[in-house]
Amino acid sequence: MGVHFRHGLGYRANVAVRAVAGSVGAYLVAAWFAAAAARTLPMNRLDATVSATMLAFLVAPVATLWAFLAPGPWRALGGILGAAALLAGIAWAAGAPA
Amino acid sequence: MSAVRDGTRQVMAWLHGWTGLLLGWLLFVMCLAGTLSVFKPEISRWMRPETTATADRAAALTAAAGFLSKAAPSSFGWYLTLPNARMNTVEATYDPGTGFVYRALDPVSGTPVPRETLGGEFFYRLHFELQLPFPWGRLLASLAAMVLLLGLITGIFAHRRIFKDFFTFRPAKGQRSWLDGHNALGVLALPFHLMISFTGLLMLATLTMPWAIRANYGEDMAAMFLAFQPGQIDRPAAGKPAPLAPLAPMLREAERRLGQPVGRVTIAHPGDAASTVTMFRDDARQIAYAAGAISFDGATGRVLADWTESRPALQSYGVAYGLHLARFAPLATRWLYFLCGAMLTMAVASGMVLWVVKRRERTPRSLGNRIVERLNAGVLAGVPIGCIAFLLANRLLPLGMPARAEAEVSAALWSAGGAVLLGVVLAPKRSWPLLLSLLATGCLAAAVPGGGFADAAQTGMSATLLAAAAAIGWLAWRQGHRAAPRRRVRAQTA
Repeated sequence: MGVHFRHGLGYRANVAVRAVAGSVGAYLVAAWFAAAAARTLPMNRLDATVSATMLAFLVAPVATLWAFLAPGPWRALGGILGAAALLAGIAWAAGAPA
Repeated sequence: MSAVRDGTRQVMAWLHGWTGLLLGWLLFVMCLAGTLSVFKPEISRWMRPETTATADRAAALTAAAGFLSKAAPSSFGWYLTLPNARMNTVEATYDPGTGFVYRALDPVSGTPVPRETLGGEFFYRLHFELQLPFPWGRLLASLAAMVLLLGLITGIFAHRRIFKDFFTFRPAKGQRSWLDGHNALGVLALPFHLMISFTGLLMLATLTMPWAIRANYGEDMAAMFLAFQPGQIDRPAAGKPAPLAPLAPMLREAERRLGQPVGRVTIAHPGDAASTVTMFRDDARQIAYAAGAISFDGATGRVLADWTESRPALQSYGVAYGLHLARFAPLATRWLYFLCGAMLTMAVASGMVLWVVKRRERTPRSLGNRIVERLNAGVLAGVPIGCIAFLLANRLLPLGMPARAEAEVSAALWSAGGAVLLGVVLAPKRSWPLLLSLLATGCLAAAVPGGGFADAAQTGMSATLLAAAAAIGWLAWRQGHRAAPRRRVRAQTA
């Protein structure tokens, strides 16, 4: 338990926001990373699909940890959602392979 | 690790504790069942002591198909695992008209063996399906695997002196000993723990992380499946009956082309003109899972597709999958998997105990922590009790009783449930010795009166049960022994 945390309402809100960012948010980042990498990795369609899927499972825990290490809860949530949106944009811009 | 900021370390330790608490009991079940699954074929043999016949792969496959063509002619498919060096029966999953069932088939007669049991398959399925309906069990298991991976990473960073603590154990010092033990169990086999949690996540990736597939293949799942496993032909039934061509020549042709024994056989739409027979390379011959496959036209025996995997990404995935399943592993490696798995199971268990031990001095102890303390006794002793009850039920239930395999599973679940209830109702210092004594007695009963000593595998299993009985019995004795003087002290001061 971090001794520097205070266990008031603010502390609980802090933890709740980070928990959402680190679970649902981290999954969104990993999912959009998988889609973006599958479409942009310089490999054939199948190798890119499989590699992107495997790498996504490394992205997810990193995103979760970052959600709890970021300077503030709202920065954590914003950063996670921003990363997910950026990756979604890359996946969308790359387009489905022909 | 001293380069890590103190704040970072505190966050990591906090996350380690809370995520561990959240899914710790579930992880305990998964780790225990997974550890036992390393010896799935050996457990299955122990649980079917009457079935000692052996047959070669071609004869066993022909016998199994002969039985299935009468018992499950309209099954969507027959999914068979052929006998090998570790297992003498054919493991078959098929639909006799009432939904899919799993049965071990006698390699000579092809009929289900007399002692109807899931055998080691129970622990294997429990490990990643958790006795829950599809897909919920697998989703929950994947979530737990991710929590385990996070727990390992946060555990590494929370550690102040990871290499020094590697060799530190201070016994009989309360919290310090639990922490040392927890650290040693986690750190000594850390590469295994990281490997097993990551590869476990990958195995269910098509369910939990389908977004790369969706991005590149859209809704066209047929194209995706063909790209992933070109050796496996999937085609719809023709609707016209046609008998299945003899399987033994197909098996010989498959083994000639693969240059390896066949391990698994899938027969889709049996009895239909468009039936297919797919044969997979034995997983014991290389690390990678399903490294090669050949499909035949079921009615004619003509080869439809022949594929040995050599694409780098899929080979990597196959190796990750195979590393987790450990079917490649020779006996010594299997024991290493078993020991590392047991260490992970005990790391999870000691972590759960540590949660309470760390907070024991706090007064008044919160209701939440008292619930955790009682559930710890119930779950950490109760789940192994359920596993042992499964083995005992295998010996005690009469042969030929209806739904016998299901009754064995019920015995496991009710015993585990009863033990959890005892853990909740009784004070921990009473429930721990009681439940551990029950567990040790169960191990002893399974090993001695119920023991199979017919071959090396069965003797190994009975010997392991005896060792477990001794170790757990010693723990129970110590618990009871230490609890007694404390009670006296309190009686004097009261």
